[in-house]
Amino acid sequence: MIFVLAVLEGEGWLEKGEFLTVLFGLIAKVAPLWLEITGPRARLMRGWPGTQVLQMAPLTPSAVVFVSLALAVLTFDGLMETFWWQALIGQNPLEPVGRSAVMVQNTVGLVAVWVTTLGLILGAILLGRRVGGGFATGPVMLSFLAIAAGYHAAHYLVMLLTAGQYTIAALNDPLFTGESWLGLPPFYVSFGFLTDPRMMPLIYAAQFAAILGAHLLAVVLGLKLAGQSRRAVAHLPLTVLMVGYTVLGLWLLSTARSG
Amino acid sequence: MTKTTLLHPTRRGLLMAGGAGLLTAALPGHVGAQAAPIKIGFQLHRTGIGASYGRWYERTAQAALKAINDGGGIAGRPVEILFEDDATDPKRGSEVVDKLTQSDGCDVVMGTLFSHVVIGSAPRAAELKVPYLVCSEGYHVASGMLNRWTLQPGITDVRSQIQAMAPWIAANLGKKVTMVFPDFAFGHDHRDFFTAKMAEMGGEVIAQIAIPPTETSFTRYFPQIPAETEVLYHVMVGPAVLTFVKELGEFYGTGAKPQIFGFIDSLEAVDTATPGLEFLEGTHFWEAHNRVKPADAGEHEAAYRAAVGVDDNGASVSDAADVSTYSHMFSTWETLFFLKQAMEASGYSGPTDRQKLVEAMEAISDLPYGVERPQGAKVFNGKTHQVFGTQNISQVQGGKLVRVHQTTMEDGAYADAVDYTTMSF
Repeated sequence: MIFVLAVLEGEGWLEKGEFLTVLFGLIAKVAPLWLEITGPRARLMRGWPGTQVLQMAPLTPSAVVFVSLALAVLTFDGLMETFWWQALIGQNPLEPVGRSAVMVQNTVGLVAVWVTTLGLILGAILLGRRVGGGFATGPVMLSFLAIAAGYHAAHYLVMLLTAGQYTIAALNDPLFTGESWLGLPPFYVSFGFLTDPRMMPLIYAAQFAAILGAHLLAVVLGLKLAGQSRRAVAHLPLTVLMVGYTVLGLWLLSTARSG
Repeated sequence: MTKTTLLHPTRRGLLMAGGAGLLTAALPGHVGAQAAPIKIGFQLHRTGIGASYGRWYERTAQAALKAINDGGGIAGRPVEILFEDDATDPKRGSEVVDKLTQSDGCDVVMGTLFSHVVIGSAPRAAELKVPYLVCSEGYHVASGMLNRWTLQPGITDVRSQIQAMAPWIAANLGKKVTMVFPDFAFGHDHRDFFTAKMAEMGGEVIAQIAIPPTETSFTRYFPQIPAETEVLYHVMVGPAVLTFVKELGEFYGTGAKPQIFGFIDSLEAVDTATPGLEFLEGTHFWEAHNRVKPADAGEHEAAYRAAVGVDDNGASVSDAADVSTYSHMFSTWETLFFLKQAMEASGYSGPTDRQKLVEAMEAISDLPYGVERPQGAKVFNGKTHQVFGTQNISQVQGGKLVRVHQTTMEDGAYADAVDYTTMSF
């Protein structure tokens, strides 16, 4: 479908209508390296993470909603595996009935998390604006791109390390003929590190660093993007929200989960 | 001038990429067009709660497939396996049976482990009249709950496993048993079958402690263990197992403790030498297939381990920390060889012979030890569609599981609850 629409709608469609392109295009703005393309020339740029974010135009209302959805999806993807959520929807985490049977509950949960996320963010921004001025939604919302990037890195790190091996194996021998297109020797997909007491703390530390780093970056960006406030206390609502969100992210990574 | 990068492709670029994709997609058909292979659909738990089992099921099945094809295939025909993820989801499982049978044209479907997926998929297999060979251990096959098209020829069922443990426990560990089990069907099977068999052996289950499945700490349950307990029988499963064992160790400390017996299901794919599991030293476990190669292992054990890529400790040859699901995965290997035997006996030529194939399976009885059955000799009961075999009891010695006893076929026998051969197809 993406291919057909791209042919029908032309070059601009992917950037506007294909959600993964939009999502990763936004997240990539946090990267310390980027390409600047002007005419036939491409320049490789580098700068502190978030440098590009500060140069971006304010997010449009639909982009604000989209970024909040990106955050909510990650939060709920973690949340739905927790024993806490399973108990809430009356599931036995040791005897799960499968995804199909909980599709309604999980869809309702996802929408609820989305609405809550959007509501809390907009609420905090509004409160900041009321208290001290500044805090235009479009610019401030840009700071949440850092959180989206950090959450992605933390949430999908283990998947990258596990499913990534299948991807390499498939690329090495895509037709199952025993060939080695990447020149790799035959190898077994290996998950031993998941039970290795030396590896798991390292993985958790990396996830911890990604989430904490993302939130710190978001706070710095928030300070720069919030505009002139008359009172420093205007930053309090958003800061409280950020701290709460950090705690939630770390809890999701460390609590008992199934699946 | 138009920008042309990966994110800003031109129409011509997209069309060319698409064309190249179509060409690539056409390749496998051309490469594999030499002979009409037998196609086996494998319902795989690649994602979901069963994923750690699924990964080893796939690896073992691939190894068996290679062994079968290297030996000339089935009745001279090459064999293919089509793996399809069911997400350990019964509804998806039923759809996978459908897809493998109808769209992919598989001759049979096999490989399912988790009971709820088996129970969710078996009715569809019967509707499609396709042989469905499960590797699940569940008693649902032999209990008569399923149908003529569903068989379990590669692994014994949990009822047989549980009751086969009781005679040795009563004779060697003690007669007064306290059971600790998760409070749902899996735990209830253990409670019911073991309690009954223990009574038969002159023993007694003096306490049954059911633990809610969402529990993540167990300390408050341990005071319920009666002081006169001689044997503590535990079958905790799930992410909290390590906590359970650790807290049990803290509860007893270095003082007197009962003998402890568990099922390896608690620790499949987990290294018994993991820090925190020291308390298991000296305790006993049921194993279907000994993870650590016994000194007196059968002559085919080494070849089986080499084929699957597993070392003498039951871990991957490429990663000593990657412990296999050794007590379950042999079932895929043995099921494939059972299928080969039945297909060759029935002169199977294609999907129109499926009924004949099931009848040929039902006629199989004696399954001697050999490279086809690395876990051990078995007897298939055509009436109950269930295979019977021997079990092992191992003791943790120096952090490793060492076999101390092997049960007999009789220890695991029970009266037939169903005769599927009287049912219509």
